[in-house]
Amino acid sequence: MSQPKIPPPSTESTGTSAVQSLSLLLVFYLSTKCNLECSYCNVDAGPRGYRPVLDPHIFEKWLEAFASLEPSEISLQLHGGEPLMVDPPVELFAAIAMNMLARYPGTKLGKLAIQSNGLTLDESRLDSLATAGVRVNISIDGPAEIHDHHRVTATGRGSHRDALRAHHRLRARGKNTAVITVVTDPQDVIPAVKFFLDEGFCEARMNPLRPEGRAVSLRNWDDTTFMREMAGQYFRAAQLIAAHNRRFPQAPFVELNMASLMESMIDPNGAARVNWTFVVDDHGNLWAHPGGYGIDAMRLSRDEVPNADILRRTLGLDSFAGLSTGVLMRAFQKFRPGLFTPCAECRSPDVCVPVYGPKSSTEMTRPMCIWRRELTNHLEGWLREAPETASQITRCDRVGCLT
Amino acid sequence: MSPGERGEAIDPTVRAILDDVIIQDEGCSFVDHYVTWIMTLRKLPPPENSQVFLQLAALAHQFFDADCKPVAASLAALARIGLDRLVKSEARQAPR
Repeated sequence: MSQPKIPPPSTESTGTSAVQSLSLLLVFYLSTKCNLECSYCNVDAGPRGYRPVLDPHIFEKWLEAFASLEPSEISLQLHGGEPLMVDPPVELFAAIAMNMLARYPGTKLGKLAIQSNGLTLDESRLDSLATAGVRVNISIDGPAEIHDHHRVTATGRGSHRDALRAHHRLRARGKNTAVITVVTDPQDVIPAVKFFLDEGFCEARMNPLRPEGRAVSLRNWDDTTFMREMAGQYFRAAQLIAAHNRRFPQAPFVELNMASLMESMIDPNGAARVNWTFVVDDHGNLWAHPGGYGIDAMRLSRDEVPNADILRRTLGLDSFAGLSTGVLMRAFQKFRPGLFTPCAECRSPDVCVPVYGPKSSTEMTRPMCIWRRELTNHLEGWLREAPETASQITRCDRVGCLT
Repeated sequence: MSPGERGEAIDPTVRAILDDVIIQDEGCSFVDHYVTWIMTLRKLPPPENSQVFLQLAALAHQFFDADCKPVAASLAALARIGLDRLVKSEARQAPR
């Protein structure tokens, strides 16, 4: 069997490469109502007080605005708070999305998923979500001693048992779906990965803590050693994952952040795919993502009823109306570095630019980029020295297995 | 069998929703003013309006059979707004 050639790691920005497809991920924070009160919640969600739900009309209008750009794919993540508590229910938001995107045959609806803490997920609700075509991802931070330290109810009760039960309900239906993990301490990375490997998880997106919501006050964000340590622990975790995947090729585990980074190094054509993520909050405002929510300078719209013109203006594309999708996508690439603050830490605007919000901003903190940059350095060196081993952390279906 | 085929009058609300079904030459099919219909149907008490939701379900089935799946899915979701509540209400009232 012939092996694909591994190109040398790119040191150039991908900003000028030819763009062949544009995939959008729209994350909707439907409401900050939640049955948990996690210590680091990025939207300050909880069970207390009046917490509105995103107006379904506004939800539909944002979708229409993004679909009017004719991307090749739009994926949706419905977050909360806890999305299973919102009314109208997420099943109806899903129906609205499917009905809207049916107007745009050139745009495929990618994954439509909710991010749930799993507390209220019973068999009947799973039936309902399956009927509505909604995927369910559970938030689990690793073993109970880590998870229950942060993911707690208003009375301080841990939620690990409920989250794990919900995940196993999904597994019983043949859906070993990805979990999202928030890593609050570099020393938690390895125990969390070991937990996922031991418990037979398939995929996790392990996101380092970001300075959003309650997490802003959890630590001193000017201390850059935190994210450097975090990157070092992630790299150790990558080596653990590679060893596991080599040993158990029938039950591989993927950490999605590291897999994406490694895939972008292995696959030179990856630059032709533009992936851009936005957040719409419960008031219908658009934000740069990830890392932008709650930082005023990263807010892209303010109390406007969305439409295609507003979106094009916001993204600096208003002079491209009526042009083909290909031209528009090249414009995306051209305009992104101008629209958003360039980052000194990262090499690729595809990776880091969306983190930093509008160019006019002067008060950006950049911990995520420090983490990503350090981790990229580790992974690049590894790929040069041991390409077959390093490639074990990727999704084989994306780049082809190298062994 | 659709409401019309059963000789049953189509409910005016269902008729109005049907009038908002758009099927375009290039293959797009969807329900116009969809969010407005969701909000309207959510305000209807299911027991008094069971025919509305049953007719929507029957029409969804018809569109599905006619290979117009996007409209079928959209109508089915509208039907479930009432049918789910009717089923729960029936379950609560059933003798134990």
